[in-house]
Amino acid sequence: MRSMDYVTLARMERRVRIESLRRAWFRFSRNKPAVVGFFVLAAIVITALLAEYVTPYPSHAGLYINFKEKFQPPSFKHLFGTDMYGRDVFTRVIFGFRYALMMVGVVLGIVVPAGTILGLVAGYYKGTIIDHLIGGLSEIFVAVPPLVLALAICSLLEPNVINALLAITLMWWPWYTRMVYSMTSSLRNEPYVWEAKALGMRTYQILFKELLPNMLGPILTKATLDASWVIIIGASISFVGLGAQPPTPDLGTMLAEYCRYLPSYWWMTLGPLLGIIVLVLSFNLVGDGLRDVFAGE
Amino acid sequence: MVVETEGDLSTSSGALLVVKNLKKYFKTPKGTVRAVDGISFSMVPGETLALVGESGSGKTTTAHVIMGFYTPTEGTVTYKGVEIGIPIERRPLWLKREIQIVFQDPATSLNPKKTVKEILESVVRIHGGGGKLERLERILELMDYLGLPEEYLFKRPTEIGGGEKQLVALARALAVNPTLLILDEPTSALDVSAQSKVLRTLLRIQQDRGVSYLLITHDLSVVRNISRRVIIMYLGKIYEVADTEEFFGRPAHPYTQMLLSSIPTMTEEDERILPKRIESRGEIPSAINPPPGCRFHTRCPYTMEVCRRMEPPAFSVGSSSHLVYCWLYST
Amino acid sequence: MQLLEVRNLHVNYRSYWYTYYVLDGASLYVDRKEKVGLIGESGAGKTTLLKAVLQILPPQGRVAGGEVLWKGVNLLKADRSYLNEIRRKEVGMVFQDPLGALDPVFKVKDHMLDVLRYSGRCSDRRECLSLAEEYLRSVLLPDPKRVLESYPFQLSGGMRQRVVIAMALASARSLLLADEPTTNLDVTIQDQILRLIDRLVEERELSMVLVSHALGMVAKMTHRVYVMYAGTIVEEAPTRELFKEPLHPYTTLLIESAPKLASRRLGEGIKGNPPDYRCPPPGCRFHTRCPYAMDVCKKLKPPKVEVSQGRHVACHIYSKKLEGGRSDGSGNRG
Repeated sequence: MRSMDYVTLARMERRVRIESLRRAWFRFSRNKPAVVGFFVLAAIVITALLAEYVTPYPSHAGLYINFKEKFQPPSFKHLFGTDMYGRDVFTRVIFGFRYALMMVGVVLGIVVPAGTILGLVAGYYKGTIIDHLIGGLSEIFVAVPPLVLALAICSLLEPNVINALLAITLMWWPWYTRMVYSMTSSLRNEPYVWEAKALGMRTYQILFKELLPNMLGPILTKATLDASWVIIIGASISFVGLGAQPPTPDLGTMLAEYCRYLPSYWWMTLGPLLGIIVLVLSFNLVGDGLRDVFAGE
Repeated sequence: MVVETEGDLSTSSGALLVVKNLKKYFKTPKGTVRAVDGISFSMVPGETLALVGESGSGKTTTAHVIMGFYTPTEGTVTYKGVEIGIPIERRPLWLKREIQIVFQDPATSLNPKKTVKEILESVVRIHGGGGKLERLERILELMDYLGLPEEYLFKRPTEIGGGEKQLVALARALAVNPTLLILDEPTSALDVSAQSKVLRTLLRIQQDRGVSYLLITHDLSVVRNISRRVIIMYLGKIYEVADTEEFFGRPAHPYTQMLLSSIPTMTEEDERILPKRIESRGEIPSAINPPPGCRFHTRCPYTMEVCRRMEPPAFSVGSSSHLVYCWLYST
Repeated sequence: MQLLEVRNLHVNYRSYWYTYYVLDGASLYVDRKEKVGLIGESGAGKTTLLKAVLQILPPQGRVAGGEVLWKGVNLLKADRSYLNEIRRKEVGMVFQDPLGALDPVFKVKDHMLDVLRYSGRCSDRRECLSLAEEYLRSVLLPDPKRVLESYPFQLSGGMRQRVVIAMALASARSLLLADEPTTNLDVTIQDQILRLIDRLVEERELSMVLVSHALGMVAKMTHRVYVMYAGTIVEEAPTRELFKEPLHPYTTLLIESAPKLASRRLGEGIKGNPPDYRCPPPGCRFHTRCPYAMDVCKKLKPPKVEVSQGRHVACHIYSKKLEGGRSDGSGNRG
C-alpha cells in the first residue's frame, strides 16, 4: 500500500544519498595518510588558485630583477630564500603549483574521457574491426616508453608548455583505453547487460548507464595516481629544457635553473624539489585512499 | 502410433510461439557443440510451458534463442506468426516489449551499482514514460503490485534479499507489459521460503494479466506447481511432451523416470508419486559428440539394439497430447 | 560420551565497523555411527557452525562462548597439535563448492597425496598413490589413474565433487562433515552422489553431519535432524518425526513452503526477511516473522525444552505447555 507521498520519497532519496557519501568518507578516513594527503592537496589547490592573493611577492612570479636581494638564505621574509634574480623562491613554488595543477587538469581532462570512451567502444564491440582499429592505435603509442615519447615529441616541436602538454596527452591515453577495454569486455556478458539489451536500451545508454558506473572506481583511482605521474613527467620535460621556458615559474624549469648553484645556494633547489615531492605524494596518498573507498563498497 | 512432431500439430490456430526444427550449434576449439539439435514445440497464449532438463539439455540455449541472444543455426522461431530469428539488437521495439526474460541469478541480473528506482526507471523511460512524475507513479505501482515496500526504491541489489531481488527483476520485466515471459530457473538460486513467495507472485500475475510463461527449470516440484505442460529435454533433443498431470501420473520415458526417481522427497505423499525407481547411472555425455541413435541409450536400463542406431520418433501414449520419443513405445 | 558435542556456541564475525552476532548459543551432538542433519535457510549459520567445530573460521570469526567437545575434550581450549590430529585423521569435511575446495594449480594426485599423508594412512609415495587410486575407485570414478593426473578444471562437476568426497573420507576415521555436498549438480548426479555418500558412511561406520537447505536430501539420509534459524537450534528430532509432524513454527513453515511434488498447492512462504546479524531481534530471533509470536517471545529467548523422547523445541509455545517440564541448559537470557 502506498504509504509515502512524493515529498517523503524525495526526502528519503536525499537521505540515502547523503548516507552513502558519509559511508564513503568513512572508508576514506580509515586510511590516515590518505586523509593527510587530502588536506594537504586541498591546501595546495586553494593556494595555487589564489596565488596572487596568498603569496607574499606575487610579482616575483614572472620577470623580476632585484640584484640587491639575490641569493638571500631562508629567513622569515623569504621562506625559501631568494634566487639569482632576487625573486622569492617560495612564491615561485606556489605559482609553480598552479602550473603543475593546470597540467594535471588539462591532460587528465582530455585523456580520461577520451580514453574511457574509446575503451568502452572497443570493449563492447570486441572482435570487430572497431576493436582492432582502436586496439592497434593504442598499441602503437604504448610500445614506446612514455618519457621517451614525450621527449621526442617535444624536441620536434617548439619547446613550450603547450607542446609539453600535447606530448603527455598523446602518450597517456592508451592506458585508460586498455584498462576500460578489459573491464568492458568482461562486464558486457553480465546478465544485466543482456537484460538491458532485451529491454531495448540503445547502445550508448548501455555503455554509459550500465557499464560505466561499474568502472568508475578503478578509473577515478587511476586518474588520481596518474596525476602524480603527469607532474613528474611534466617536470622532467621542463627540466631538460623542452617544456616551459624561464622565467615561467614551472617547478621543473626552476629545478633546472637553480640546481646549477648547488651546493652553495642550496635553498633555491630545495623549494621546487620539496614542492614536487609534496604534490606528488599527496596525490598518491589520496589515490590510495580512493582505492580503499571503492574496494570497500 | 507414430505422430508428427508436435510443432505441426498446432501450427496456426492461435499459437503464440512456434518453434520448428530449431538447431543451435556452437563452434568451439574442441569441436561443434550441438546444444540444441532439432526441436519443435508450440505455445498457446496464457499457458505455462515448462522446459525441463539437466545441464547440457539445451533448455537454456533454446530460451536464449527465443529471446534473441543467439540466432538459430537452423530452423525457425515464430511469434504471433512473425519470424523472430533475429538478434535482440535488431528486433523492433514492439517485439522487445512482448517477450521478456527473468534470469536465474538475480544478483547478476540486476546492475549492482544502480538503485531499484534507477533500474526500474530506465525501463519505464524507454517504453513511453511521460513526465517524471508519471514515471514515478508507474514505478510505485509496480513495486506495490509485487509487494515490495517503497523503501526498497533507494536500495541497491546488494542490500536486499534474494527473493526480493528476483521480484525486482520480475517488476522490471513486467514494466513493459510482456505477453510472453521466459523464466530461466527463477527459483533455483533462492531459499525455500523465498521460492514460494516468487512462485505465488508468478501465479498471481498470470491470473491478473494472462501472461504466458516459458519456464526453464530442472526442478520438477516447481513444474508441478505452476505449469500446465511439460517438455523433457536431454542433450539437445526433446524426449517427452505431456500435460503436467498426465506427466506425473504416468511418466513414460526412462529418462523422465530416472529424473523423477532422483528427486529427494520429504513427505510420504511425495514418495508415493515417484514412479518405479530407476537408479540414476552414468554421466551426461558431451554435446560435442552425442551418442548415436537415441542419446539416452548409454544410460538407459532398457536399451535395445535399435536404440543404438536410430533416433526414435514421437509415439503417443495415453492421450493424444502425451508424446514420447522412445522405441519402447513403438507398437 | 558422545563423539562430538557442541554446547551453547556463540560465534561473532567482526568487521571494522560492525559485529555480526551469528551463532547465538547453538548446541548439538553426534553419536558414533549416527547420521545427523542440519537444516535451515542460507545465512542461518550452518556452515559457520561446522567451521567453528574444526576451528577453520575466517579471520573475522571469533568464538565468543561455548564449548566444542570431541570425545569429551574441548577443542576450543585444546592445544594446536591435538586439534591438527583431529583435523587430519578423525574428521573430514566436504565443502560446498568443489571448484573452490580444490587448488586449481595442483593435480588431483597432489591433493590426494597430501590428504593421505597427513592422515597417516600411508608412508611412501608408491603406497600412497595406489591408496589414492583405491579411494577414487570407491567413489565410483571411472579410470582413477586418469583422474589422478588431471587438474580440477578438466573434470566435470560431478567428478570434482567425488574427488572432494574421496579426500574427505580419506581424512575421516570418525566423522564426516558434509556442507551442501551437491549444490549445483544435476539432479541425477546428485542422486548418485548422495547414495554414494550414504553407502560409504555406512560401510566405514562413520558418523555424519549433513548440512543442507534441500530438505528432501536430509529427510532421506539422516537419523536425526537439527533445524537452525538465525544462529540458534530451534528444533531437534528424529528425522521421520520431524518431517511428519514439525513442532516449531519455523520448521512448520519451512516444510510447508517447499514446493511439493504431490500437491499443486503452494506454500505461503515465510513473511519477512532473515534478521540482520548486526542487531538481531531480542528474545526469540524468529519472533519478527512468527505467526504465533507472543509478548514473551519479544523479550525472552526461549529455552530448549524436551517435548518427548528425543524431541526438543526452543519455543515459548512449548515451554508454556510444559510448565514444569524438563528444560535443557540453554537457559533464559533477557
